Amino acid sequence: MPILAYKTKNNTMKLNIKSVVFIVTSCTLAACNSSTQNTLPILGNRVAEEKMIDGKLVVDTIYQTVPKFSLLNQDSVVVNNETVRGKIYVADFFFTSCPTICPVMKKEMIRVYEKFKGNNQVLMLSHTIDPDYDTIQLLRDYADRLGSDGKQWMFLCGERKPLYELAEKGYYASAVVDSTEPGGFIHSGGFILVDKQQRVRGIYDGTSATDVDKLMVDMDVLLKEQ
Amino acid sequence: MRVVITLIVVVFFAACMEAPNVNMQQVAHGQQLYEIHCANCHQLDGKGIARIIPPLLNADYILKNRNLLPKIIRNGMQQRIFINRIIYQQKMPNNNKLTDAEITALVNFVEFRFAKSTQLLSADSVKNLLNK
Repeated sequence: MPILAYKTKNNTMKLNIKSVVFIVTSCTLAACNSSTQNTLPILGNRVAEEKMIDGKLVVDTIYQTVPKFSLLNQDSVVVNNETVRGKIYVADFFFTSCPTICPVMKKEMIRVYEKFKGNNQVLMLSHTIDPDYDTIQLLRDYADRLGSDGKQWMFLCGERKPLYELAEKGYYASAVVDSTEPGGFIHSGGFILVDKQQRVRGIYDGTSATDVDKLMVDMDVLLKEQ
Repeated sequence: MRVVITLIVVVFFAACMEAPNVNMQQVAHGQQLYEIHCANCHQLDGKGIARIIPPLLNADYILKNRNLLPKIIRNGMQQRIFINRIIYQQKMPNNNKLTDAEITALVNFVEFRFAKSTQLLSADSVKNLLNK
């Protein structure tokens, strides 16, 4: 702390005040700087695509997006890429009879839902990885019990194989049938944040309250993006 | 008559004296087990999760059905359950690796912490309930 040492001499005090002003200014600038640069990374593969625009060669970056999907929600309504177009959303993978991490994930998702309730730019998609047991009727009841309105936070089911592929390739989440595991499945407890262009922008641990706090901050950042 | 009353009073007090005291060591052990085996669903504060996982805290079911608790912990639960006027239907998984002593500690912790009971079940009575 050199500033403290300066305090003993009067003429250096002036210098001291100047330096304090300098430090405060630079800190403020740095703070401004970091908030304007507060953007989230875009996850996944990217390819450079060369295009001719007005006779000039322009290199455009094409980012990986969530692949085509078509699933049914708890009200038997089709949910696909069109449903999420222009919205940000959080995806997760669970099954209702899960004895391990799902209850905690659902508790955390309730917090996300409570915070963004009524915001028509935000969706939450919980995918069941056990479509044999988790029927639409059961998902309907589950949604009710969690307090979901069924429109903003939806519970989706589909055929096992394409759904597992969607989890892995679209959301970098794992879903595997394993009879040795409690409940019969291995799956990741991630909350996957997807932007308005269906690009994955973050993966958070859905069983960790601090990680989910971070997710909610990042969702606000994404909402401000064009 | 007086003798009878005296006898009743004496028996009554004796019964009170015989009631097992709260064994805090047992309760503390139960708390550790609760955090490992139960808190994931029922939560550390015993409030459960929405209408998916029933609460233990102030749950009328606990003291009304205390004789069932040891077996529910060991074998889990398949059927619907009615707690504080709400029906829950989530299956509860079994905990068949817990010993009789561990289940005694758990039941004692749950009753003491969430049902505010000080009349806790003894190891022998839990054993009997488990073998019923």
